[in-house]
Amino acid sequence: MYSSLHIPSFPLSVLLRDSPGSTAEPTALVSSTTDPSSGTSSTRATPLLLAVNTAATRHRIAPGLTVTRALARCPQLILLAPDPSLEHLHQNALREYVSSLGPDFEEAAPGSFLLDLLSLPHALTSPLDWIEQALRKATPLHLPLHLAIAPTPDLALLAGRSRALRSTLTFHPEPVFNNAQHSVFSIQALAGLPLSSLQTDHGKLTTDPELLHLWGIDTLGALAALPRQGLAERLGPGATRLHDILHGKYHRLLNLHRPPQQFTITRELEHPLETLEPLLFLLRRGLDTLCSRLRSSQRATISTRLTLTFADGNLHLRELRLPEPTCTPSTLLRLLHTHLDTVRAPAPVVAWSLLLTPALPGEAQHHLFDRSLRDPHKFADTLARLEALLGPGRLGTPRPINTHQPDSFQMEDPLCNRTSRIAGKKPGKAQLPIFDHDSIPTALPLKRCRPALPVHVACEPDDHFPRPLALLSGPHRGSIAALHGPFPLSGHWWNPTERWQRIEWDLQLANQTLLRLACQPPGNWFLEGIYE
Amino acid sequence: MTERSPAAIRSRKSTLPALRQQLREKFPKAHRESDSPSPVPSSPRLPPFPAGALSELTPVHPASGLSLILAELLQEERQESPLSTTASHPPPASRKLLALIDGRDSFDPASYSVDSCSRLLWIRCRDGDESLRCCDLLLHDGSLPLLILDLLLNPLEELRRIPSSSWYRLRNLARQSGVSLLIFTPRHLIPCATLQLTFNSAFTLADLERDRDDLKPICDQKEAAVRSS
Repeated sequence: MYSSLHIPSFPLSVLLRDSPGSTAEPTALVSSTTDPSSGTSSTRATPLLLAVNTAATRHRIAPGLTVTRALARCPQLILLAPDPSLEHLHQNALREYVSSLGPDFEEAAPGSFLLDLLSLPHALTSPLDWIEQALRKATPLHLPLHLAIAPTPDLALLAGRSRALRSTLTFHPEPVFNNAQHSVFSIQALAGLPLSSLQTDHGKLTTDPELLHLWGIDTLGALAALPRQGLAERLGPGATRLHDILHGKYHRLLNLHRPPQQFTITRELEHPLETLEPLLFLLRRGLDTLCSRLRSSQRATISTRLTLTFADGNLHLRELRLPEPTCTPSTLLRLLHTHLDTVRAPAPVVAWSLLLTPALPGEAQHHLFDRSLRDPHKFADTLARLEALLGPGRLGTPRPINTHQPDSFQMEDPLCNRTSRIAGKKPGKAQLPIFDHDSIPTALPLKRCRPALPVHVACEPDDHFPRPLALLSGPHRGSIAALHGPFPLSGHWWNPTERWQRIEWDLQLANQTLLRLACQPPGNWFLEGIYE
Repeated sequence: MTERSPAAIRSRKSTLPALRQQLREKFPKAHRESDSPSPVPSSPRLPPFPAGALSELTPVHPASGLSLILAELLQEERQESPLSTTASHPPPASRKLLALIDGRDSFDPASYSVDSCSRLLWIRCRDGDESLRCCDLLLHDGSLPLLILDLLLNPLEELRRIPSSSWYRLRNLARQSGVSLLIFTPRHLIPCATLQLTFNSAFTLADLERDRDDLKPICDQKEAAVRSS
């Protein structure tokens, strides 16, 4: 059995919720006339009525009318614009309310829910009591509510539209409870509903409604009375589906709502920790809990974020990325241990927090015989040890960036390609554009001196640039036998803080050594590198 | 309950190795790691670098083109990847990283193609001691089949202070993990190198203008000595 919970005219009901006096006034919800492309109000679009209240229907005002016509019929009509933020707020409140009734439910539409009663034995044994309790529980929402029970999800939605089958909660302004006329679901109670109710609720009316109207089929009862075989032969499988829904033979699965799971754990410690071992013990327990949560939702983690709070108020934040998704606590602990070995705490730890980023396990499909890394997690641990030894920024894959400034590159995590592919992430905006062509400036690769070595150079003035003759200091001294250049370079000339300028030469000393020399105006000479 | 006669068990025992042998012959790449490590292919002009051993590459002249060997190794994977879908651009997962332990932080990414840089794990060390410690960690890990330790710009005095036992330790680690370790040194320093190559090319300033593929570093085959250590 299933129960449908439906807020009639949900966008209008949430607007009228906080103004109980206006329910007696004819009120209508008007479609937005805002042009989505420009964000400004459009005068060309004709605003239509989306929903009306009971008082407006007495003036023969119905949804779909233009505002002009509606005002002609009722000049006192109050026009309201939809408020998506308010709808979102009340949809969340409704979701909480429905989840308090039962765990398995579907959000059929805004303000409309389907609840599976299979896990609620009380609702199956005494449905009237359960309906009354459910409606009373909805009183704090202060929204009108229709509730109906039926054997299939689609019939439950239809029963919510039938006055005979639904129980209602209304506010005048005190809550008023009305029980359904039929205590048990009967399909005959749906017979009088128009065909459009089926179309509106499910969007499944694949059959042409005009054709059915020509046949004289205007109600669900008339459609249900047609022979199924003949309907299938003439209108195809879509009509058969409708026929089965009306006879309770089609039992679809609910698209169950599941709240997003948080794979995080935070603990404040009663006694501050001063050594690593007890902290690792606590982290291990936290990882066990989080990994069991991950496993229960068929997920693994791709990164671990550790936050340590020290007694002096300082925080230590670190995100550790994994080469492949895993939910093995020992692997994650090894990664944390390697990192924590390098952390120098300014004060005892008073709180810690772990956040695991969920990912699909084993999303990457490797080749059959491809063994890219023997143990990716061990390799990640080795990389963490290397980074701890060398310091940040001294380990990774170099990516030349799109500039002519010499020695410009950025270091990337060597595992980031694989990681981003698994997580489905795109490179961050902070990354600079990479060098987009494969041109190589010289045949022999350069070996750079970092930082560039200042040298003394004997030079003679030339037309625009000085001409180096000999290197007087530095590791490579001697007269210059051959010279290529000058190659003037400059960039960011429009920015006074970032502008740079230099002149470079490739030269060969008498002892065959090939060097790159640079001069930064006004006369600072540097040895840039050596060609090996 | 199924009946298991001794004859059936014997036949099963004899079938299993045969099946393994067939699979080994049909898919040799799948059993690559369980076999003895195969040499790492190098340039067509050079002998293959032995796996699980140290190879020492030394220049004679200042511009002998030793960096060209690194450039060739970085492009190596593009030419051989028989299992990849496209020979020219294999998917990232199938492209193995190559670790360069840069003893003096002298690698210039702009001198190499973006594609070559993308498969390089660049470890920027400050001195020889730091380089050896990084090398030690990577050999312990054993994930990467080829490591390059570049000590060309490190001062000779600093390199001479490295005790021989350190090289033997690296040799033993490489042997255990099956990793091929290439060491670029300004002079022959490593007593336990299985392969020692001396490069006697002398490129000039005019060679900088040529195409990189036309530059062929010459390895003195007479001085190349394969030692069984």
